[in-house]
Parts: sequence; structure tokens; C-alpha cells
Amino acid sequence: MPRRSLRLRLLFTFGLGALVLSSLFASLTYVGVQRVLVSDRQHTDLRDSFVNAALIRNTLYTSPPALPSLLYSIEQATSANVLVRTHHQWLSRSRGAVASDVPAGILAKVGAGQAAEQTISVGGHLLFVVGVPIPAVETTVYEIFQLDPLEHTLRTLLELLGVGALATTLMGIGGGLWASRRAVRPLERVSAAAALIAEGELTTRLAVGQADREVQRLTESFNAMVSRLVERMERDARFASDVSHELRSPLTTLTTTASILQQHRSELSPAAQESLDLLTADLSVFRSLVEDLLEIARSDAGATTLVIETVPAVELVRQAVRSAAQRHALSEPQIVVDGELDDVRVSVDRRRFERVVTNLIVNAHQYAGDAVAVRVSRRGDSLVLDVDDAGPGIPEDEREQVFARFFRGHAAHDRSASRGTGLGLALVRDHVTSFQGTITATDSPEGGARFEVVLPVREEGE
Amino acid sequence: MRLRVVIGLLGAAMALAGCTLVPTGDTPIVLPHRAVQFELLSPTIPGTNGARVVFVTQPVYVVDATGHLTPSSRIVPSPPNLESVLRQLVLGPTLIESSAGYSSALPRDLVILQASINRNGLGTIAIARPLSTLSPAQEVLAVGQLVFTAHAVGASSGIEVTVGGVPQRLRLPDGSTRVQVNEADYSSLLNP
Repeated sequence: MPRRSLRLRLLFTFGLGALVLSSLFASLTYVGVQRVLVSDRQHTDLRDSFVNAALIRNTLYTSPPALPSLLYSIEQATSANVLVRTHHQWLSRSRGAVASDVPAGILAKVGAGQAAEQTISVGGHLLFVVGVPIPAVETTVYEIFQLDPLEHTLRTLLELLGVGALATTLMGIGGGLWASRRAVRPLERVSAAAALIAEGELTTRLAVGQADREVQRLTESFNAMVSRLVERMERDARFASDVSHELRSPLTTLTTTASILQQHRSELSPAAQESLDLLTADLSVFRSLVEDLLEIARSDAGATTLVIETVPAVELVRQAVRSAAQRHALSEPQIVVDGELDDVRVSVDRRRFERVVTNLIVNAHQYAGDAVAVRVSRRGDSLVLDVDDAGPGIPEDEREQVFARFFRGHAAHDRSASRGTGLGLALVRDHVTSFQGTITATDSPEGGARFEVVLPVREEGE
Repeated sequence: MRLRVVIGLLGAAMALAGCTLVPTGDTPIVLPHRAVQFELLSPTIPGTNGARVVFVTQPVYVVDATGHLTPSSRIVPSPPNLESVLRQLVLGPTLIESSAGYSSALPRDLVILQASINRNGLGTIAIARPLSTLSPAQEVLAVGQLVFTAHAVGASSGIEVTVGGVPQRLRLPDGSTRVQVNEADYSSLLNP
């Protein structure tokens, strides 16, 4: 299952956090302001209603005919619509407002002698209606206040808070982007450095620079870890090299002694001859193992010097195949050249390239009934060298493992486990890699295994 | 979980956008008695000796679209007196009456200085300037409005109009003039 990106998660967390916080802040602000504004406005309108009702009462008591001019004054001063009902008759008709504008509920309550208020929405307009009975002058007063300006104010506030919340969220996302970059960048550097080290660039280290304390600590730990690993690898390589070197002298003595004994073989009893043959065979394997170990240890330690030459590829392959067959007394496999490749050149260390071809042919001989063909072809800017064998092929799950040191696949167990050192293919990969090439194990179209070496082609003058 | 929070917030925002931001109510809220200021709910007028005003409906006469006089009701304090009723008359027709074609022959700037009815049922009306400044036809209608309105209040013997204490000669429908006039003199002006 693909893992989620740390950067995306940080970004999402920052964005969501900013959204939640800004929304919470905006909600609390809006609710608080809305309650205060609505409450204040209704309180003010109620107070105005009582003042106006008192003025109407006084006018009806002292000078009833002056009521119209009083109502006019009230409407000019308060922008409210005022309706007066005296002796069961509506006395005023204010700014187009009529008795039917007053909610029936308020009419009923006021008719029953109670003052009442109600906020209603009529035709898209918000109205605050106050009804006050004035029994002393046989009158009821209704005042209708427009709340549309308040509604507009609240809507503007809501929009501003919404824009603010959106801006805060975007800023949160921006902050998340910055923080995630800052947090992830050291990890990416570590990842890149680890990849380089895995590719063999053992001198790769992280720059400490002006990084944060935590990152600095990670960098120092990483560099220390790599240094320790490199030291350990070098120590192991030195150890293997030293052991191999130390084994060489007694091995030479043993080989020489065995050689002398072989010269007097006829003088030995049949049982002694058999023992001598076994000793000679094992000494041969032992010598190969020591030589391979020594070579691989030198390679690990970087102690070997590459002598790179740019040479014609086909001729190089022919020489290497011939040399391998002669040295190990094997039948020379068929060499198939695909196309006109006489001018194709590769840059290699001749000795190591011969070792590559030799190891592949010997490997085919030991585990797969011999190499049946060596094919040379060109694929784009690469030279492809295929060594096909006559064996049953390599199971897919072992095709990468066969290049590991001392790996013993099922073929080795089945056939001649004692004849190989377990280092041949590992050395092949080391050498091919040193030529900036690759090697893979796959199936041959003829049915056996195929080892495919791919080397970069060098153009003339390159 | 996070998705639910986001969906909830969006839903709340959408719901908020469709509603009014000032809360409305389906039913009125009754205000407590103590919350109503200036003793408005008191049965009498504060600061008086238990005074209260009771209104009655009283007819005043206006001119209809055909040029005849017709009664229209006005609310006046009880018991009605000639002066307060005439002041209601001078205010002219209401907006509803005007829109229905009713009018008044009395000038809107006519000032009723004093009006009363004596024990013989004669109404005396003191005004600031004479009605003779009106056209003859308008003067007849104006006097008719005063006569019938005063008669409804109780001026059963007719009326007399004075300017600066001097009785004025009032124009009758037949063109003659007289100092004291009554409703019989103007009966031809009533809407049949």
C-alpha cells in the first residue's frame, strides 16, 4: 500500500488546523456580536416605543387634535411606523403601514391589555413590532421598526469573518507548506545521501551547515553512522585480505608438496593415489577461493587499480572466451555476433573483463552443463553480452541472489557444491559495475539461463 | 472524522446563508408589566387625580364628490364639546376620505378661537378671519359644514360666527345673508 506523503500530511494538518481555529474564532465573534447588536437594537426600539406611547397619551389627554402632527414628528425622529387605535378606530395611517401589517398575535395580546413585541419577516424585510396598550386614554399604540439595516450589518460582518477565516486558512496552508519543506528537506537530503552510499559512493556525507539543532544532530549521527560502517567494511576487507594473504604461503607449500607427490604417484598404493587426487582437487578449489577472496577484498577496500582501455568489443569478447576455455580446459562456446559490430568499442580493464567472461563460462560449466553460446549485440548506446547455458535456468526468486557472496542456489546443492567458491558471480558484478555496466540473470530463449552484461559503448575519440 | 467536520462546517455555512441573521419569532413575546415604562399600563393618567380619557364617536360634515354635505365620524373626548369637534372638522377629511373624493370647504388654516353652546342651544363660534373671503359657493358649503356639525353636538338653535367679537353675516344657499343660521336653512345641501 503506498504510504501518504509526510509533506502532504503536514500541509493538510496545518490547513485543517487553521480552518478549524479561524472558523471557531469567526463563529464565536459572530455569535457574540450578533447577540449584542440585536439585543441593543431591540432595547433601543422598545425604549423609543415607550417614549412615543407616553407622548401620544399626553397628547390625547391634553389636545387630541394635535395627534396627527405628533405622529408626524415621531415618524420623522425615529423612522418608525406608528399606528394608533383609539375607541376601536384606527386614527393614523403611517407611511403606508396599515393595521394588517401588525401580526394578529400582537393584536390579540395588546387587545388583552398586555404589551408585546415580535420580530417578523415580511416580504423579505425584517420588522420589529411593539404593541403597547394605554388604557388611560382608551388607546393602543403599535410601532413598527425596520431591522433591515441591522440585517445588512450582520451579513457584512459574517462576510468579513468568512473572508478572514478563508485568509487565515490559506495562511495556515502557506505556513504548512513552509514548515513541511523545512521539516522534510533534511529527510530528503538523508534519503539522497543514503541512496548514493547504497550505490557505492562511500565518501558521501551530509553537510552540517547552519541547520537547526535537531537536524544538526541527525546529520552528525548519520555521518558518524556512515563513517562507522565504512570503517567496518574496510576492516572486514582488510581482514579478508590479510587472511587470504596469510593463507597463500602455506597453500603454496601444500600445492608444491602435492605436485611433488603427483610426480611420484606411481610409487603410491591405490588408496594413497585416490587420497592424493582428492587432496589435489580440494587444493585447487582452496586456491581459487583464496584468490577470489583476495580479489574481492581488494575491490572492497578500493585497493585495486583499474587500467581502463577503450578496445573493440567483439575482438575483446573473442579473446576472453578463448582464454577462459583454454585456461580451464573447457570447450569453447559458440560466439554469435548480431550485426556489424567491428567498430563498436567499450572501455574496460582487460584483465577484469576476462575474469568476467571466465567466471560466467566456468559458472555455466559448473552448474548448468556448459555455456552453449556467447552472443554480442548492440542495443542503442549499449553493448550487450549474453552468456547462455544449457541448464534448467534460474528460478525467478534467485536471479538477484545469485550475485550475492557465498550464495548457494538449488543448482549448487543439486550438482557440484564443492567445486565453486561462491564468489564468482559476486566478483563478476563488482567488475561490471566498475565498468559502469550492469549484469542481470534471466531466461535464455533456448531454455537455459542467460547472464546479460550491458556496457556503455564508447564512440571514436571519446 | 475530519471529513465529517468539514462537511458539518460547510452545511452550517450554507444553512446560515439561507436564513435571516436576526432571529424572528412565530409568536409575540409578552413584556412584563414592570418592563413597560411611564406607567403606560396604568388605567389612569399618572400625575393626575385619577384622570382618564374616554372617547366617543361624533359626526362631522364633509363635502362629497357631488358637492353635497355628508356626515363622517370622528373620535373626540367624551363628553364632546363644540370646540373640540369643530377642530376635528377643520382638520379636513382623512386620507381615506380624500382618496374617496371627499373634501372640505373650510380652509385648512381656519383657526377656531373659541366655540360654545349657550343654554338656548345657540352655538357661538369665534374665528380668526371672516368666511366672506371665500367664494360664495364655498362659503355656503363651509357654513353648512359648521351648522350641521354643531347641530350634531347640540346646537339645536343654530350657530352664530364672530370675528373679533363682531357677529358675521352668513351666506345662505339662496344667496341671502343672516347672522344666525340653522340646519333647516342648509337642508338642501345634504346628500339626498
